[in-house]
Amino acid sequence: MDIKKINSFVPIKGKYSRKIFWFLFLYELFTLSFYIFNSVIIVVNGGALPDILGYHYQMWETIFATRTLSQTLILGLPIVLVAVGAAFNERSGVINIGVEGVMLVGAWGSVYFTWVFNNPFIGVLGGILISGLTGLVHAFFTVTLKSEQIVTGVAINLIALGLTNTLTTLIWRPGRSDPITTLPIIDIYSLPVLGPYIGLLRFSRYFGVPVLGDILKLIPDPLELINGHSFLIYFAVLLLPLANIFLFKTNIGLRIRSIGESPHTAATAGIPVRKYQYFAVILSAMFAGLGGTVLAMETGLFQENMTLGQGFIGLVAMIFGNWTILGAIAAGFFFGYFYAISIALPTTPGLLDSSVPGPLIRSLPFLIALFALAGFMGKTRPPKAIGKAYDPQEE
Amino acid sequence: MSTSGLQVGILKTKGIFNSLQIIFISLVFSFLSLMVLYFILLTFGFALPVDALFKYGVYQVFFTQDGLSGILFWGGPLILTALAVAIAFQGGLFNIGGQGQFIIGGLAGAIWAASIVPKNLPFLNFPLFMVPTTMLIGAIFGGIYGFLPGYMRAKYEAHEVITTILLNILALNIAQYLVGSRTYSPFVDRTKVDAYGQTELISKSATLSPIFPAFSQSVTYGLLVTVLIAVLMYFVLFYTRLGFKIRAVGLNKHAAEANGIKSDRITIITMTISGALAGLAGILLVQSSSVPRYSIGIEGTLGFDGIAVSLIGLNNPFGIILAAFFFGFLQQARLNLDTSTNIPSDLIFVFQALVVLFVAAPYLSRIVINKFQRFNKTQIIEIKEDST
Repeated sequence: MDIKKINSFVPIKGKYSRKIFWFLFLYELFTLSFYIFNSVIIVVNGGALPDILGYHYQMWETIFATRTLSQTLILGLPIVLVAVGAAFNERSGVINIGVEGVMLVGAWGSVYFTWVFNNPFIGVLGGILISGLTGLVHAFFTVTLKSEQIVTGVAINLIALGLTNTLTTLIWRPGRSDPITTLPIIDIYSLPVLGPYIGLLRFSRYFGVPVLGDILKLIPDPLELINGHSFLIYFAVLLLPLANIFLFKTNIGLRIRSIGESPHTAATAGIPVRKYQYFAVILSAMFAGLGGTVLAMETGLFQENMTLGQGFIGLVAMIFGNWTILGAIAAGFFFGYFYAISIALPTTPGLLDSSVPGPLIRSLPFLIALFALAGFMGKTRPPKAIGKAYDPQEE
Repeated sequence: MSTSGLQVGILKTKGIFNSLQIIFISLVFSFLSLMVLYFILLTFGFALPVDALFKYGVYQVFFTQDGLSGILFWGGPLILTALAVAIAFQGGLFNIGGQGQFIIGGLAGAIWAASIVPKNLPFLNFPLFMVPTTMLIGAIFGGIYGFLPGYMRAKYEAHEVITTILLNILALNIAQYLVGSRTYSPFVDRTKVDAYGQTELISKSATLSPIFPAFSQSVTYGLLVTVLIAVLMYFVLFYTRLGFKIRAVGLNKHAAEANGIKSDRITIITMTISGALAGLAGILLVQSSSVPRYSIGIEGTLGFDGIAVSLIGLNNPFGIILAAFFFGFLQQARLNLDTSTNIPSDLIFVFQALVVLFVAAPYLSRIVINKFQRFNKTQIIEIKEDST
């Protein structure tokens, strides 16, 4: 299969529209093939053929429902945060496959500290700090001890999995923690001064108006999407543009990026390479930990292996976003959207199990991530010096 | 991701004595880390009962018939998953998809022997045909599951670590779909009213019989097959053209290509063999267990444990056989702790992961060795630095 040849059949030109086309096309392709596959199995086993068109209509209805879009913000945010964090360390030339583990540690830490101090704000801080420590371990092994970065990352994933399970079993019970007090939810309509004015913009106010109301009922309300989340979500979203400014518009960001391209040149220019690599890895781990914290805070407790591959999807999103922050954010939310769908679809009444079984729908984001890695949606270019430990004596 | 071959420090170390020193020091470090963890837990008020740990984790494993046969039983699949990791390491690849390939292999073989043949082809249901074909189906499907990341690595430069991780998650979903639910799963156990998450028992003619029925029912001829395959892999790796090519690509892909080796093809072959080994581990576990069926979660962490076994066995099939029985002991200890005590058995999983972390850091061990030599000047061993 030559990707260039396949891409020449795509009717849409332009880098990003082509990526989006592939996303939607693959989604449609996979769901349809799952559907047909499942129908064949049902018919072979002597069942009645399920309703094809009805299923398909319901699926797209669910995809564009306000609930799904609103879930995207919550379910996509951990993935986006991991992707943004991963952009930092990969730009500094260090691969961290261990982000999944770091995320898990962050989730566990935030639940634990909230549970101990009964204060979710301390919990969030604790979760971020403890994941920063995990990042420090990775940095120590890969930067100072020059271990193989990928093996170390895998080891950190496994250690995080085993350790969080152990501690959860010891402190609470096998499998999951006690529920914790979550962060307060912010309602923008009841803000002191601005609240009533924002309230005027709600779509639901105008549902009574003859033509306008009917149109508005069809469109998801943007205010409903951003309203009613906890403080942490807004905080994390605000961090994202800051991360972009930090990596691409400041001196420190420039230095980090130059190290990833050529550490020896950077060292010649007087940049302390290892210090910056430490900094980038720890910062990235804190981002991933924040992702885990968001996940735990939205769930309200810690569950065994609760990240379930979201950290890896974040890594793929970062690669898909071509090692840039904005690309990582966009790709992260895209993956998050499909993640939200894969959770929303099986729980939609009428779509349950009979048409397309839950496990197949749940595997969609991972399948699409695989295709994204295969370069179906455009070539990406990693930093040049990635994956190798910096050794001043070389060259 | 980088496109150069992956080289774990231990592979680069020259001389088996130096490697063994590093392994030993890594094990000591891992053990020390666990001790530190123990004392941290102690200060937070979680006292782990050490006497119970030794009674069920060590004594019950080494001094009872069940324990000893458990070591041999778990050693089998561990040898195969470790071989899967090792051959990939030798080829410059890091296959952490052992978990997924294990699931797919076990699942495919179990479905073949439990549903497809007994229901559709009953005339084929005799041991001479069923035992080898079931193994073969497991290995083939595991191989397909290893072929995919190999192909993606060779053709699209998609890093095999990320693709295999994604495939691991997909494998869990596939298993959930095929046997997880009574409403939609085509191969779920329908012999009982409320059973789900498992296939039916595989046909009696596909199960493997025990080698020493008087000593243990769980040590089957599967172990013999496993050891034979380990020996075979040794000869393939070190005495055949294919093995030479695999190792050449692993050491330096570009040099291998300059000498006329098609590195893309070798990468695909390496990953396929690797997947087939892990798949075989899955189906052999199904065929040898006392309740011979695939049930969700049967894989435990055997696929991941293979990484540690392979590193400790120096990526050499004979080393792996020895290391696998050590880890078989750990696995049996884990089971004993789970059934008899409330000590979290995941601690042993943490130990295995720590081993991976420390073995991958030969630099740390080298510092320790150098310190030790300065301290004890009577025996000075030349530590060869990496030539890279």
